[in-house]
Amino acid sequence: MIAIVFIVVMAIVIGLATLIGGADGAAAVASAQVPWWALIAVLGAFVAFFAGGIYVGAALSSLALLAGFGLSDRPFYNFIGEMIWSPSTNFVLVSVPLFLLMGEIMLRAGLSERLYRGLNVWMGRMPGGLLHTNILACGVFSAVAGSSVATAATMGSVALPYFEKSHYPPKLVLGSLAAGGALGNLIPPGITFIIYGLITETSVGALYIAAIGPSILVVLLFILVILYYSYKMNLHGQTVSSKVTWRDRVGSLADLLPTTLLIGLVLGTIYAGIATPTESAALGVAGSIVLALVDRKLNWHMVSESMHSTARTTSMIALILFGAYFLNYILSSLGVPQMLAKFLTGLPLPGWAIMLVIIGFYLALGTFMEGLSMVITTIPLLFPVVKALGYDPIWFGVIITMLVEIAMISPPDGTVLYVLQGMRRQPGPITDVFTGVMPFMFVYMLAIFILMVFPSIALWLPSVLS
Amino acid sequence: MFDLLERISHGAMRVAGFCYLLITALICFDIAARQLLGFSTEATIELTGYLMAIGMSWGLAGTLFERGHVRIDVLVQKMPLGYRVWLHLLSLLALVCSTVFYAWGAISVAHDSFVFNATDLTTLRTPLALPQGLWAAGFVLLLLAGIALGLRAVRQLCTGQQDAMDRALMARTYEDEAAETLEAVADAQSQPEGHRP
Repeated sequence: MIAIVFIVVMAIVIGLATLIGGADGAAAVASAQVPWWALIAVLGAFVAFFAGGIYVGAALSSLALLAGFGLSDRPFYNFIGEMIWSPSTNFVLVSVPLFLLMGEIMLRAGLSERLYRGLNVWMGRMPGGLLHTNILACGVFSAVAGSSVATAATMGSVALPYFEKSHYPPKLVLGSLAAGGALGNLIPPGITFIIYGLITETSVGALYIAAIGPSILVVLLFILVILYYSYKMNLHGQTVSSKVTWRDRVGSLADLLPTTLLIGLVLGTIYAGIATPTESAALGVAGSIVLALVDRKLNWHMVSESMHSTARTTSMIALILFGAYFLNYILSSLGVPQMLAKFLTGLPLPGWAIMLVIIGFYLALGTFMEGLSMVITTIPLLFPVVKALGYDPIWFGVIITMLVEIAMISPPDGTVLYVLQGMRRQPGPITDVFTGVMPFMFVYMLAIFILMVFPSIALWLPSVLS
Repeated sequence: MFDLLERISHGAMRVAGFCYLLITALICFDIAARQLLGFSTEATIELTGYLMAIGMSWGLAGTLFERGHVRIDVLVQKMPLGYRVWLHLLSLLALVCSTVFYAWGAISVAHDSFVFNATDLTTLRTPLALPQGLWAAGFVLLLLAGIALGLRAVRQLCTGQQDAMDRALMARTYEDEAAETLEAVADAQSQPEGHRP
C-alpha cells in the first residue's frame, strides 16, 4: 500500500517536473527513435505482466519479444543464442553458485555456534549484551557467506536458544537478528555485488573494497540503536555471577578460529590480490567443506542438499538474467536507456533529487519484489541514468546493495523475517518481527542518506588502494 | 510421461549441482597449481564457463517443477481461485513462448559451431558445439517441462480440479522458502555434536 502511494507520488513529481521543464522534455522526444505511445505501451505491459504474476524472467523476455517485433525492424531473433551464451559463460558469474554453495554448506554444518559463543564472551557485559552479539556474529558470519537468508537462519538458530527465559523483549531480539541478516549481502563477499558488477561491467573487487566503509557504518548504527533501547528499557548486560575472566576471553579465541580462517581464506585472498573473487569463492567452498569435515558434520546427504539448493537458486537467477539481457538488447538497439537518461537528466531537478527519486523507487519496489530480481530487472535501464548524472558506478553499486538488503527486511515481504518467525520457540505473531525490525530499517535508510552526503565513506578506500 | 519428464528434470538438476562442485574442484586445482607448482592449466576459465552455462540451463526445468522461478504474486494471492488459475496458465504460456526462442537460439548457436567446426582458443581446442549442444539441451528440457505442465493444467481445469492446479503452479512463497531453510537448520542441529565435549 505504502509502496503504491509512493510510486504514484513519484510519478506526479516527475510529471510536474516534465511540464515545468517542457522544452527539455520536448527536445528528448524529438531526438528519440521510438514514439512515446509505444514506450508507454511497453511500460503498461511491463506493469501488467508483473502484477499478473507472470514469471519475472518470462515477463522480461515476452516484453522483449513484443518490443522487438512491434518496434524494431532488425532480425533480432538471430542473435538470441549469442546474446545469452556469452553472459552464461562469464567467469564473474561463476562465483554466484560458488558463494551460494558455500553459504548452504555452512548453514548445514552448524559452524556458527562456536562463533556465537566466542563473541558473546566479549560482548556480553555491554548494556543489551546478547543483542550486540547478534549483530556482530551476523556481521562476522556474513563476511564469509554471501547470502542474507543463510546468515539470518544460521545465526538465528544458535542465538534464539540463548534468549529463552531472558529479560530481553522478543521484538528487539528478532529485530536485531533480522537486521544482522541484512548485513549478509553488504559485507563482502556478497552476491548482489557480483550481479551488479556483471551487468554494469564494474570491478567486483573494487565493489568489495568500497563496501568496507559502509558495512562498518551500518554495524555501528545498529549498535547505537541497541544501546538506545537498552538504556530506555534498562536492559543490563550479563550479571556478575557469570563474570568473564581473561582466561575465558583467551579461550573464546579458539571458538573464533574456524571462522577467522575462513574469512582469511575468502576475503584475504581477494584483498591481497592473490585470487579473483571467483577463485576466492571456490576456495571458500573448499574451506567450508574442510571445516565441516573437521567438525564431523560432513555427510553426503548434506552436500547433496546443498548442491540441490544451489542449483535451484542459480537457475532461478539465470532465467531472470536471460530475460534481462534479451530485453536490454532490444531496448538498447531502440535507444531507450539513452532516451530515459536524457529525459531524467533534462528535468529541472538537481542530480541528488533524481537520485532520491531512484532510491525511493527501489525502496517502494523492495516491499513486494525479491531483491536480486529487482536489481537484474532495473539496473540495465537505470545505470545509464546514474552515469549521466555523474555518480560513481562503484558508489551506486554499494547503494543498490544496501537497498536490496532493506528489501530483504522490509515488511510484509521479506524472506529473512519469515525465517526468523519460523525459528521462534515461544509462539507469537509475525508482527513482532515486523515492529522489531523497523528501527533497524530506518537506520539502514539513514546510512544510505549519510552515504549520499559523504560518498567518500565508500569511495575513499578504493581510491587509496588503486 | 509427465512423471518421466519430472524425473528427468530432477536428474538434470542434480547434474547441475555437480557442475558447481566440479567448478570448485577445477578452480582450486588451478590455484594450487599456480601457487605451488608454478604452472597454470590455462583452460580453467573456459571450462568453468561451459560448466556454468550447462549448470544454469539444466537446472531450469527442475526449478520450474519445484515452483522455484520468481513471480510477483502479491496481487495473484489475493485474487479468487477462478481468476488465479487463468493467470497461472498465462504465466506458463509466456514462459513457453520465451523458451521457444531461447531453445531455438541456443540450438542454432550450437549448430553453427558444429558446421564451422569452431573451437575455443585454449590449448584444449574444445569443439564449441559440445558445450553449446549440452547447454541447448537444458532449454529444450525447460520447453518440454513448460508444455507438460501447461497440458496438465488445462486437463485439471477441464476436470474441475482447480485447487490441485493452483497448488502445482503457485509460486513458492516466503513461508515455503523459510520452511526449507528451517529444515536445513534442523538437520544441522540433529546431528551428533562431533568430538566436542
